[in-house]
Amino acid sequence: MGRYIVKRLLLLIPILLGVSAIIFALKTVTPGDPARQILGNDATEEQVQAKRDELGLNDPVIVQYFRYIAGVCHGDFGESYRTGEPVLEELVPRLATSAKITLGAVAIGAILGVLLGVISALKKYTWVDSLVLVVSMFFQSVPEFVVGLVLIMIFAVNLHWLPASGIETWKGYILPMLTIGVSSIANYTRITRSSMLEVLGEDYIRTARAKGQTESKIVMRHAMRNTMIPVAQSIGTHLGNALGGGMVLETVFSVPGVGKYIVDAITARNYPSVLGGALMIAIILVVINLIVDISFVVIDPRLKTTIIAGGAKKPKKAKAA
Amino acid sequence: MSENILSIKDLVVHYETDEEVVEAVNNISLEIGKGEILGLVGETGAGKTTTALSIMGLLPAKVGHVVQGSIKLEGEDLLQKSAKAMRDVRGKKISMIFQDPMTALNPVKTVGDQISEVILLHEKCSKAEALRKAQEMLAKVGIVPERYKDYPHQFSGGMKQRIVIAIALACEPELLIADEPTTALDVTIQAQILDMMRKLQKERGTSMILITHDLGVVAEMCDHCAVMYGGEIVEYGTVEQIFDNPKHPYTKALYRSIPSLDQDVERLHVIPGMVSDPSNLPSYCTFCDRCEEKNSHCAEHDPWIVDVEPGHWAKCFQYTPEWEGGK
Amino acid sequence: MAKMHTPAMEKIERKNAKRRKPKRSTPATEAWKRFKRNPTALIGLIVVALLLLIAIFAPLIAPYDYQVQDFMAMSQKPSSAHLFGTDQLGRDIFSRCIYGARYSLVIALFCTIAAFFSGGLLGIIAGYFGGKVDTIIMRIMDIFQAIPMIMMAMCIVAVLGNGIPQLVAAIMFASMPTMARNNRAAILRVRGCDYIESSEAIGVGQVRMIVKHMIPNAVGVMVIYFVGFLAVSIMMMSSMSYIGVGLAAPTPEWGLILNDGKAYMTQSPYMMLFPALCIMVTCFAFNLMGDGLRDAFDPKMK
Repeated sequence: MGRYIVKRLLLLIPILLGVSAIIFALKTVTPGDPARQILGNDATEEQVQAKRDELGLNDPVIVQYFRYIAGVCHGDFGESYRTGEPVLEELVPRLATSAKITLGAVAIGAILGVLLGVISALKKYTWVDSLVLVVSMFFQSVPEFVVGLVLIMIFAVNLHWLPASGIETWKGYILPMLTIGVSSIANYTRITRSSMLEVLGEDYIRTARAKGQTESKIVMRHAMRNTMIPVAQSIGTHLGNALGGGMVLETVFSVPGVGKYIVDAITARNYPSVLGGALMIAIILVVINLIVDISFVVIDPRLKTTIIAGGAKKPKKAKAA
Repeated sequence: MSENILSIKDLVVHYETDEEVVEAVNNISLEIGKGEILGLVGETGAGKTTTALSIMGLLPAKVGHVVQGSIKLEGEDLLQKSAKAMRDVRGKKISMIFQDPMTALNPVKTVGDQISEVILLHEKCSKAEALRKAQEMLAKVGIVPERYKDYPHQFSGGMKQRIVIAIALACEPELLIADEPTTALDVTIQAQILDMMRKLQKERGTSMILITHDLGVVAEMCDHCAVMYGGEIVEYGTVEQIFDNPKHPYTKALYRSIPSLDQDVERLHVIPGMVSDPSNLPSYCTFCDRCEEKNSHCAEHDPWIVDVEPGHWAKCFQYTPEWEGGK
Repeated sequence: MAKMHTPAMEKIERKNAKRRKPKRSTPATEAWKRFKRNPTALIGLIVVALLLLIAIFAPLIAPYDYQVQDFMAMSQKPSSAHLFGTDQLGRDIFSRCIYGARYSLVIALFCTIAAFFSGGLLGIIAGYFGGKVDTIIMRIMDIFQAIPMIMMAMCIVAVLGNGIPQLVAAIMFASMPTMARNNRAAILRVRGCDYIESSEAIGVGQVRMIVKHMIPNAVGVMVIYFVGFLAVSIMMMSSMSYIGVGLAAPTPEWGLILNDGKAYMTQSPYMMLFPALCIMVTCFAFNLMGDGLRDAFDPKMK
């Protein structure tokens, strides 16, 4: 198990190098001079040159890149052009905020989605099934920020129950969580439904019926855990998507999270912050996927052997039927 | 035959979808005595499994329909029972072993859990007691009882089938339906499993329906044999009668298609034609189109059951006294 | 003929009697038959067709010019003169939304085509050639995928500036890894099918194989991705415009109209309601259609 985790974490290195290279490349081709940006239009040409030297902007890009990488290895993600504060120190509290919202949202989405998916599967081909699928798909197909805006209009503007923006109180978390959660319900519903239908067609369900087990217990005891395998898999992807989607949503709700931090940084051409944010997200994504893969072992004992042996990440899909 | 444990009368089962109606079982009647093993032989699609599922009350919901007939277990019609009453029958009075042991066990539950589940359902006992009984059952089917904590994927195919058998026999059912229990297994394992099943069956006096397409298995295991074709039983008798004196052209053709060890033949005998399409069965004899002994009557009327000797009957015009009239 | 007649059989016979002669059935006609039977998919198709008509005939439908500011009618509530009301500059929101359909659909179409010719092509190459080519392309895509799509698109807009071609490029770039992955999977699925292997075994020529077997079978999946991506690009475009990194004012793009209304949310919620509805209906319709297509082309996938 330990070796497996180390191996997966080592895979992070090329990804982080790649991600920082891409952002670095974008940074060099972005028009505008960061030094001028920091000092403002009033600064003299000499002052700007001095600042450029100070920031190391006059060195070749390659040198800048490796200097940055060396810094990251020591936990130094550079300083924000805007505030002059270390990026890492700015990122950490924002990360906590984003994490709270994301986790809450995934919980809302997964719980509601799985519930609706199970109902849908058990009532397949009835009007309940169609209704669940159409409604959940509606929420999936609408951009998150529109869902967010509609929720703001209802709960903040009309009903005055919840604040439209900010997270000064716990109430501020509700709308962003709800928005991301609701948008992801369809995904879970769909996966749960098809997974449940597949599982219910398995031979071991027939075995359970042949034992004289009741339908409800067959669903709870035999089908549920097997159904959850692909659902757990999608939780990982969803966490990642929610972090990415958080950029727009945190802007909509003015939540001081990583997403808004990056959006502000991009608009202000504040590249150290963009780089730091991007690396942070990449690291989190890889770690989340690792945790999800490990958690499979708990659900599906068959995977223990493959994971400990360091074998295939997921059981290979059977050849197209 | 002393007392019948199960008697099926005029059973017709159809699968109905929007596209077609499949006539899976057509008017079959069968009786199984106490402690007897009945072999149900036939090709794929002959209606063997459907018959078994009808007895269990496990026909696919919405699609499978019993159109007519009765299935009586010790005099009580199973088809009239409520869903709840049927749950008490399944696992307790009638058990079933399914074809593929690889998929018949739940991959995320330990085998101990899966055996004790059926015990908990039908016997009043504590969880610990059920687990202890489950271990006993494991020992009976030849698996180290300590392995009750293991998951199905840790067992080989043959061992899994032993576990499936342990589940089926855990509550000492009166009737065991085994649907091709060895088809998915290696030949060497097949014999072991069959031996064990027969031993347990003798020990407990369980009646058994053994579904198979392997005539060798029937010869070795069964007392009676019913040959199915196109959802009908075309011939029924004791194993000796069927093997020594087959009457129906289909049964005869089946024997001819078994490769013989002492004769050197160029080609295996093949029954001509294809298995009849069960969604489009003829109103005349189902086997007629492939029959090598057919007569002009066969393409006009559906033959009926005729006794050829005591306890041995066939569904063929050859043995009809009124052969001439075809009526 | 049958052994025993049941009501169910009579029903089917009646149905078959009504049915006209069976037409030549190809995968496409089969798919269309299944698509037709799916009411939600049909609704999606109808709405998309309506949107297309609206986009084409926008100048005829829109009662006002989308740019004209009428200072006599600023921030008006919806009325018969201004169906969706007017914005803070007195522009008719209904006309802006109508023209918005033009922008959204055309840009989405360009984005999708561009994405297919970049990421899609990479995926097809990776899937078709396999081996080292596949490994190199997919490892690079892995790196790209570690950057959230919207962040990638924003960075590219930061480099290239605001504007329609820039936006198309940004969305194309950002979608590259997903596109490559999907198309690669589609090709691999077709390649791995038993019938391709069996055609290979009986010596079907390369060209014939690609034309007769692989394209017809991969096209279904690709059409699904295509329609699906149209919806994704509309979503991305409006999201980006809304946070100010997409198109520049005064383009009547739905996300931008929403952004305009943001400041007046409390006093004039209708300013946001109608463009939001436009985005919702459009995305929903595309998804319904895409979903229907998926079921139609691959009934087993459901």
